[in-house]
Amino acid sequence: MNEKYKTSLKEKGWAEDKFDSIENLKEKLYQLSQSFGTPKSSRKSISAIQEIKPTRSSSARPNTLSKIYSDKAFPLHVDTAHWCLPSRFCIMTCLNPGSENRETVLLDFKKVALSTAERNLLKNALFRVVNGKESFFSTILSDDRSFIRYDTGCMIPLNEDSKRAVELMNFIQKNNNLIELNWDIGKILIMDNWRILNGRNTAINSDNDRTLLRVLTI
Amino acid sequence: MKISITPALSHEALYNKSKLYIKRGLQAKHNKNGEEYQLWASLALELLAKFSLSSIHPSLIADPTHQNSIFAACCVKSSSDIKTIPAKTLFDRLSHILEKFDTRVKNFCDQLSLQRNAELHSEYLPHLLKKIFLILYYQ
Repeated sequence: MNEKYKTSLKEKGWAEDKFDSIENLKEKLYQLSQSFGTPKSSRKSISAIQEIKPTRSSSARPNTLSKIYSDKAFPLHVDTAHWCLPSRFCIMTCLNPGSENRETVLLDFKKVALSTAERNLLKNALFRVVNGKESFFSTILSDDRSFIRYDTGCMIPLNEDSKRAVELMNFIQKNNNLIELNWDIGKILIMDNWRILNGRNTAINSDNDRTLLRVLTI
Repeated sequence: MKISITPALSHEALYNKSKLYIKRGLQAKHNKNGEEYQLWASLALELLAKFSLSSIHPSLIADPTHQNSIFAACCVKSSSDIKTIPAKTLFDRLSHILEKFDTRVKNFCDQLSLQRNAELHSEYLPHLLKKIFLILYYQ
């Protein structure tokens, strides 16, 4: 891994850069991702290099944020929260920033100030993590692991505690300064998916031309 | 391809499921539904036992006669069909590694598991189950 990325990932949990040219972005992204682990597709049926576009609810897969929020803003979440061990790094580039040029938002959860009671709530509130035959029960935080698991698309609150945990996560999103990242063609974003929550800002008009490429590594 | 552990063998998933069943059991107890309480408790106990062994290594709870499960325990996925060891083996293994899991506790767990199976698989009424709980409670 490039030293420049390593330092930024250690300090901030994410790094940005730009490819020298905008030719062959898919190949370049895949090649770059290999220095962050083994690329893995988020579903069996798709390639490890995934094209991400705003998708309307009617054509979205079940238990995804697109199904709930359609092509509107996405709340903060980590990618592949439905995996027992979520993807380690998420490496993205942009094919088209879209007509609305809307930002990706990030929050370094490591820097979020939580009281003991709040941390305990996130460690104890149980969710059903929906992933077909591989569904399981989990919490947002745990003493046994260093990563955060959170995605309202696939994590269903099981009781009052978990509903309070979702409220707390919404409060955190509203009351912390989120990093807003604008996209341009060939820009690179590398996220430590074990500590960075990501989301998408809202758009006034539909921007189905916004196209990002994503590779997840394990 | 190497993957993360499957939920059926993951100690975190097993622990959380056990915690959920304990909550459901306590809710049943609160609602004065003794039989349901005992059923949830026996399920939670088995999951908790699996969690303890899986924390050491998932292969300790994978069915050794089932190839897919052995691969899955080593994070090599071949199928989502996972089989785990029976409760009796589970409690035998726990008694081997935990000093406090002595013969008395092991017998209690074995009995609870047998009664649970009787409840689920036959017409048998689990009177003994109640008795076992009372014995443990007063100990």
